[in-house]
Amino acid sequence: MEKKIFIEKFREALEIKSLNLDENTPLKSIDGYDSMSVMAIIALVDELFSKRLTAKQLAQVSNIKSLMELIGFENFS
Amino acid sequence: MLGRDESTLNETLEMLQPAHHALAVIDLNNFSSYTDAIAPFVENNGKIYGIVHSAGLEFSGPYNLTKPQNFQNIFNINAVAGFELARIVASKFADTETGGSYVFISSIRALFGVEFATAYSASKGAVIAASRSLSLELAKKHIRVNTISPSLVLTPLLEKYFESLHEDTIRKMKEQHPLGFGMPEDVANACIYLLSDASRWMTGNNIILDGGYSVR
Repeated sequence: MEKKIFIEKFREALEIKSLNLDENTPLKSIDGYDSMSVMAIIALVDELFSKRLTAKQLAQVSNIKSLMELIGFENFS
Repeated sequence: MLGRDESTLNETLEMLQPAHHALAVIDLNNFSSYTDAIAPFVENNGKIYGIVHSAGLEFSGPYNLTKPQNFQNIFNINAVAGFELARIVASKFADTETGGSYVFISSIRALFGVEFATAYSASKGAVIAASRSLSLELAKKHIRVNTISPSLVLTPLLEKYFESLHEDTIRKMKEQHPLGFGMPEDVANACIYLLSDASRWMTGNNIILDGGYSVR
């Protein structure tokens, strides 16, 4: 999957409207980022990559780049 | 016992006391396979008195990621499979003299909302609603139909769900259950009651098993 498409799907899943989002944007800087956002990311990754992440794994994720690393960079172009 | 995972079925079989138990490996999505799976059991053991439909799929996702296919997948297993099983058994394999008792496992999520469970809640709500109608139709065959709505029961499915939650969230969920989370045998005991004559005057009903979750 292209990185920019993934970022767009990430934006849609978390319903991020105003923020200029890129792979280095700190997740905690996203307005309203909370435990529900974590569940939304888990559901998104499961849907797109059939990979089930855990809340513990996501606690180590600081931005979209590190999320892509967790999913596996080989899945992105 | 019907299910798609043979090792899980065998594991359950080993836990049961010796009796006329039998298992058949089928994919519950394959509705047309039910009759062939049940017929040999009936031939060897006689007509079927009771059914417990406890197969379940869980899907947690925000509404904007919950698509028609998610609803269809979860409805097939959580609701349609049980009612197709009931249709086949009641029309072909039920003892018309003794009647019977059919039990469908719903969920507390059918009654109390929670975020990210739209498809799951809908499928479990369908189980309760359809059971009430079915209970009226099957009453003339002396077949009772009831549902059980458990809250959180410590099963592998729940453990998988907990992996998507922060520890604080799990702690709060536990606090919402004055008697703690349930165990599989808590649900099994309610099934025993509903299958037995102890509940012979009960049909179209729903038993809530929730460790006190809904009291407040």
